[in-house]
Amino acid sequence: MPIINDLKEIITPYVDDKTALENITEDTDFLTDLKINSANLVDIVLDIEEKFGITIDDASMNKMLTVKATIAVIEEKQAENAG
Amino acid sequence: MLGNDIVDLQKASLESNWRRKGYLDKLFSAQEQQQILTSTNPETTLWLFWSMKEAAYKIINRETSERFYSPKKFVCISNTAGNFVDFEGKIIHIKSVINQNFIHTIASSTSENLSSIQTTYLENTSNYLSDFNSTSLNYSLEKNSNGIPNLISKTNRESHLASVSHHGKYLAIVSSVL
Repeated sequence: MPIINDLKEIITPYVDDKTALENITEDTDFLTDLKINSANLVDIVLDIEEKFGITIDDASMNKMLTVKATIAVIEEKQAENAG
Repeated sequence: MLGNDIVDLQKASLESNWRRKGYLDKLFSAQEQQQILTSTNPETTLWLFWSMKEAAYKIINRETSERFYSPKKFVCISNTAGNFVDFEGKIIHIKSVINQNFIHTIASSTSENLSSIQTTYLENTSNYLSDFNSTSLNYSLEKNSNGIPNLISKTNRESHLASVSHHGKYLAIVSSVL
């Protein structure tokens, strides 16, 4: 199952605009496109840690404003776990 | 340079479970967490510190045109001299209004400018620009192509920095000319 589907499930509770959520792509921005509150971005980071069994450090969290950047962080941390 | 941030306390309480494991660690330093947890009202102190980080971020974001999510790079300092945020050695001056409904924080690069910044509070609706512009006598609020708001003088078209923040029921516009 592509990561973007899991990600969509994780962010759903934090998005009011369900139409924007349906149109999610790699280029979607959590703040400007989905209007997610910045205080809830940390919930998304914590949910991702739990769902994927990874630890996200501050330097990685720094980049997690878009779907594309977030998927890249998840893949990077999964690869580290596998190695 | 200026920035501001408003937190609707009722909305924050409903939508953020700050007692969740790992939540505070991702946003606040050990020292900030200790100040939050030992204060008389931890939830209020938490949202005060959060609004300080967000208001300061708006200044750095405008200066660098970079977007990032690193709340711990913004270190809250609260002492007898007042409230400040330290971002990589740069000190940002802070003033806040705290009441039962919201916390509103204004950030400024200099302490002199901080005292001259004024606030207009409006209802948080999608029509706030026209709401503001129909009631303001001297200035119209306009966003440039980068989405940065400015107050434009209705008489000489002179442009002044502004900052807009909104959350839940509340919206604040700050500028030195309001």
